[in-house]
Amino acid sequence: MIAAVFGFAFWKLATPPKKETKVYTIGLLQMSPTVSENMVGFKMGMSELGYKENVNVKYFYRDAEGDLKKLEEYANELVAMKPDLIFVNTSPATKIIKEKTEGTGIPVVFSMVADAVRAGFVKSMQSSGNNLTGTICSYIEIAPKRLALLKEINPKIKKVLVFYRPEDLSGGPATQNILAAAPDLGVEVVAVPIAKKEDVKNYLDKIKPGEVDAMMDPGDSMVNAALAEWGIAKAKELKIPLVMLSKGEAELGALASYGVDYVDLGKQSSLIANQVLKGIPPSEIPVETPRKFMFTINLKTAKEIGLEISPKALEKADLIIK
Amino acid sequence: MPSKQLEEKGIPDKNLIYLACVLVILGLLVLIIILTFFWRVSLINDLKKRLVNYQISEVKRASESIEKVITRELEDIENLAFQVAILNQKKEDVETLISRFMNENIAIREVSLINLSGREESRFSKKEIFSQKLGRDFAFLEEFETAKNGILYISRVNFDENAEPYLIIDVPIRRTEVEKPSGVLRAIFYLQAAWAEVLETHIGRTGRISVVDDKGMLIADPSPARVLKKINLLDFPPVKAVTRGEFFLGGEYFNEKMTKVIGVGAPIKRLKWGAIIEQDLEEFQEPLKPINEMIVVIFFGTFLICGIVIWLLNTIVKADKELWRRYTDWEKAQQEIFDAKQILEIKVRARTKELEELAKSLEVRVDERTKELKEKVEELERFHKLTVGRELKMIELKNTIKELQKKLEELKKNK
Repeated sequence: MIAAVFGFAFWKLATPPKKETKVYTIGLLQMSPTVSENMVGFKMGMSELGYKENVNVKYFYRDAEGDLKKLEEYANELVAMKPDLIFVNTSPATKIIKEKTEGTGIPVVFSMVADAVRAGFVKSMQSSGNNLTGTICSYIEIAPKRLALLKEINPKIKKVLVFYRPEDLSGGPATQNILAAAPDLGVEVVAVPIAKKEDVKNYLDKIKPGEVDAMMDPGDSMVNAALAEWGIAKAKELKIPLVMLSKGEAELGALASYGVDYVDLGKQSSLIANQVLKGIPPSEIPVETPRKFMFTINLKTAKEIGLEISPKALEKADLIIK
Repeated sequence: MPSKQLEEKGIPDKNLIYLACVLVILGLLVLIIILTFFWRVSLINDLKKRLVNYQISEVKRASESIEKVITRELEDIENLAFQVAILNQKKEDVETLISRFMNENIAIREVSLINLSGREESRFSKKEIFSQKLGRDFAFLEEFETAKNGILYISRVNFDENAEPYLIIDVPIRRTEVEKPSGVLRAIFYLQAAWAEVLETHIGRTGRISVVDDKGMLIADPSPARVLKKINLLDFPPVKAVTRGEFFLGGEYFNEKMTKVIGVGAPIKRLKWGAIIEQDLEEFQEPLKPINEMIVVIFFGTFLICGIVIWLLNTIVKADKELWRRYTDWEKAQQEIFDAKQILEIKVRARTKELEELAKSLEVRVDERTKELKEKVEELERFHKLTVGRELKMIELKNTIKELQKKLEELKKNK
């Protein structure tokens, strides 16, 4: 009997307590495939932090492919799943998710948002005051820098065409920043307001060679989509530089791009997601600005348009597509 | 006597045996309790030591990691200033150099070149563009004056408008240590990269690594909101130790939330900062739970066993007493039977004697009576002879008469 008691006691001591692995569920909502690298970066970051897909984390991925109807439908679906967290990128998707998760207590980590405060997603950068936190892409702040780089690529540039939506929370203020910086850079900016995507096409169809020296994207999602669809080809046709936002667009044929590193921003967002999953309320996690920006130059396009890139610009490039 | 025989065999000492048994059991129980207590204390101390050692190794790793990142960045910035001096501040080359530097060091988000009068001549940023009219004046500011005098300046931890922590680092631009600086290179070093790896370390559920500056101010914590509250932790033992440049090798105290925690600390010597780990004591003691459970099991098990043994002894004692009582009764009964037998024997002997005497007197009387009877028998025999002979003669006469009568009648008939 004594043996039984001691045996039981030592068995209790020797048997480690069962540790159940929590499987987190994360909803991923993406506005369009153009920012898919951001989603990839997020998943990579999560993996580096020890969240292994189908082991201790399950992702429910939805891509609205630029369709606002689909976006709303997917947002409803994800919220109904009551995940542990929703990771969402771009402002339109964040806006819908914010509305849908209000009062549900589902934490949301956003990314690729131009200005989270002005968009009303958060109360301030220090504290959202709600269930949202995340990373912004600083498009508004870096818009003049993009113009400066364009000028460095080809110092002869004098007239730059910029399409923008005045009401857009990113494109509007970014264009204002570009206009303010232009005189110091010795550049005239032709700022063309648009209401719909096709306005860009209509304008480009009418433009004549020599009318402008370059084109740039201020960081407006609609303008971005339109330039990707028609602007890249038109810039090549006019043999003028086009500077856009991401590496992907440079790969598509834009002469250069300057913007946030989507992958790195996704990884940065994963650090925030990790904090949220560890129990820190989103309202206590400040919204972060990007830690890495990427300047890409496409030398193939440069060759196509017959432009010799200045060595200074090439030195500054993080990525050169040859 | 039977009872005397049993006593000689030792049965009267059985209570002493029982007492000895109980005392041995109780002694064992006390021994187990004492041994378990000492074993538990030593085990707990050992476990605590291991956990604290683990925390110490983690906090050392954290402080070394932060120190390494910051030292590397400082060296890079000093090296950049040296290269700028070599290039003799040629604008184009310097711009290229700094651009390349910033591409490689994403934690450095802004670099400025300041002339000896304190005027910012150029600024390099991934976000902003610089024009001369935006140039700032740093003259008479501590950061500029320190670097101008050839001393590396490192600011306290600042937070930008987005609550991101950064350091301002000013280094003199010169080719040799003895050369008079030709200007000052000012860099903004964002600390997220230095924090990231460290703050992602989790010690259990409640353990966290924090970083404090030389004044005990919390400058990095897994919960950024806690940092933004600008808490001074100088009153807490590990923080006190690390601000003195010493290690704190484990101790219990109440943190600012009045939660009892166990903490360790390691200094980050170059900046006189410190990394501390705090873990809720409750969670820290969780590994002790199975030990405590085991001890409870041992205690209750021992008590149970002793209880059962004592109960068994008690039952045996009771049974023995009952047996003894019955035995005593039986012995008493035996004695009574023996006594009764003795009395009976005496009585029987007396009666036997009486009977023997009676038998003797009876024999005499029987002889007398036999003689008398013999005489009477003889007399009767004589009388019988007399009376029975006559009777027989008479019976013969009667038969003869009957035969004669028969013959007479026959003769009459024949006539």
